[in-house]
Amino acid sequence: MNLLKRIIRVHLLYASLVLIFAIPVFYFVTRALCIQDVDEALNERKKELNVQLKSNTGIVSQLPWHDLNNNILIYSPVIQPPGKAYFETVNGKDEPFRVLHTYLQVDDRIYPVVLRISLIGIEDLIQGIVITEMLLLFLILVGLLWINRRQSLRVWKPFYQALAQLQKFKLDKKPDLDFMDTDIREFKDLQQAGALLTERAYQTYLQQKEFTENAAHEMQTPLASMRAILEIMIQHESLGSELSRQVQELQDIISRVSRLNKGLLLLAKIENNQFDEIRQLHPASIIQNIRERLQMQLNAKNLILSEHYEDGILPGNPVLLDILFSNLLTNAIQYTPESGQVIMNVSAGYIEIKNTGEPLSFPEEKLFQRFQKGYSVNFPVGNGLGLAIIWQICKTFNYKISYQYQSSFHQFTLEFSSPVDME
Amino acid sequence: MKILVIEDEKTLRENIIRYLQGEQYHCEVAIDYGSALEKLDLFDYDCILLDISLPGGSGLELLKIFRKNKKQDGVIIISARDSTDDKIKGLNLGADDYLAKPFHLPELEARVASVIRRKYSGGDNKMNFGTLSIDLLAKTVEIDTGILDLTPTEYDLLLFLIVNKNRVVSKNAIAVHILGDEAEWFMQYDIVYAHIKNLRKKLSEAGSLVYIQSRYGVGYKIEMK
Repeated sequence: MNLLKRIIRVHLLYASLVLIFAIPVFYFVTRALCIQDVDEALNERKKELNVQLKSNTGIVSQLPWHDLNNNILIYSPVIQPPGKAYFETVNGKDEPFRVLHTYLQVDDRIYPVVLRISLIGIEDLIQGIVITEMLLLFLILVGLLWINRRQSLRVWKPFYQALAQLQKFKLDKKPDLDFMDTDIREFKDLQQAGALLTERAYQTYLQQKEFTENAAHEMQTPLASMRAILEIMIQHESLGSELSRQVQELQDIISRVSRLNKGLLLLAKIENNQFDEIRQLHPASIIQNIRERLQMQLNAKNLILSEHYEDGILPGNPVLLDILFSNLLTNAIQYTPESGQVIMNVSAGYIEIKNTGEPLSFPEEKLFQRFQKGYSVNFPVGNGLGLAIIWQICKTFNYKISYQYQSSFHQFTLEFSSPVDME
Repeated sequence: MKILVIEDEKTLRENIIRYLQGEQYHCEVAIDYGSALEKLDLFDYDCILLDISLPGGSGLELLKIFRKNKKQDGVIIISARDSTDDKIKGLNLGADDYLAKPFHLPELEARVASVIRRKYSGGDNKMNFGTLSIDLLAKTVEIDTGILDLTPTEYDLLLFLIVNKNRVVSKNAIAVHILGDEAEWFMQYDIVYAHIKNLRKKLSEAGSLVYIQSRYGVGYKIEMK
């Protein structure tokens, strides 16, 4: 529901409620006023009758008064003292009447008198008034709603325009916002806040990007120094076996830090879309290439590799695709026990890499998270970034990567049938 | 052979020099953009090791000026950046090689030797070590009893050790040299050890006086009896 609809809805609800309540209230109030009017008329008529009777006392004794007028009935005199006069509304055969029951005293005699006025004309009048009023009210409400909506659209236009501008903003592009002129202070504030916020977000993004890159790069030089020191150290004849072992451990640590560093840098670069070159690539030949590079590792663990290649074309970045496949295969080799089995199926629409091994020691959904390591005494510990990098690359190019464990096989499936959308 | 090391990090610079001086190289240093520019202008070198981020300016800028002056000295970029883009950029500007930090000193030595050989071999593609005669073009190793039957990896390994002769070459450096970058994912030294073992066997069976000495499991050194 949008803003204007929401506001109009409140107005509409209020208008409907007013209309619904106004109709009966209007009817009853008008009717009560009319009846009051009729009652006054009846009282007037009674006074007139009284005057007539008093100035012409003979009439009463001479005539059967109750026939005098359909609307005035005078009954035979009564002895008991006069009761209280009262009004009532009665429905006659065809029409409603307002009736006044009262008494008149003529020459010490008390006559009960009934006076009535037909209400038929009045009912018509009330109806007419109510309908006219209702129409008027309805017209006013509809008109107000319409004007309100038009006004709102016009007034809120800068808001919607600012919103559209902000939605256009992309973190990795310099903000280029063009707000329309407005004299409404809140909208001006909104525009200023929007411009400031996007500019700041963009600057922060740039800084962060630069920082990640610099941090990773700056770390490589001290690592190079450390490595160089160790390589000079092992030249000394006096370095015993104990120290040599520790030098070796340090070498391994440097390798790990350097690898971790490269991994983080790569992730940052992928996230920053720094690999925007897209080419049509042949996954089969890329994988074959990587497989050759890893032949020694395969041999060293005595792994059985079954491979099946089918040529296909996949749009992607050559560097990232190489990393993607290399990580998948490296991962498989790394986590397959000695003399285990690795199966690779490369076809036009998907790539399947399977390897034997024990089930995961952690929940499957954490597999692609950063620094999630499969730990086992049999395997060297990875740096926890290999699969995270795979995940990030797949996300960037809209490839679908899935994992399952089935009959003692870890299986990674990469599907890339959908066309790549890189905006 | 004269080498200019343009690197601002003192420890790295000093250790590079210490390692390279084990060979026949004479090293000079430049610690920033200005001094590097001056030295490059005044002297000729056989090989230049060039860091990219230098105080006072970019190493790539130095390379540009240097190549514009038609200087043909061999240049190896030693950079903290190792993306393909950076490498291509460096090589396009006229660098002969590109080595990403943190590199191993034996690897640097091998690259320096290769650059110098390419520039100054004068068509001679033979290299000798003890009784071994290496044909760099045919990638074969000859001994008085005949040609050694080596696999490409074993040939690589032997050449790597010979280039780094008189020095202990770390297992780590060998692994990266023969297995490539992915070696760092595995840190499996059994592969290195297996190749060393085979190479030793082939050398001794051929009656070579050259042998590979192991140093407490941390590295290997090639020597002559």
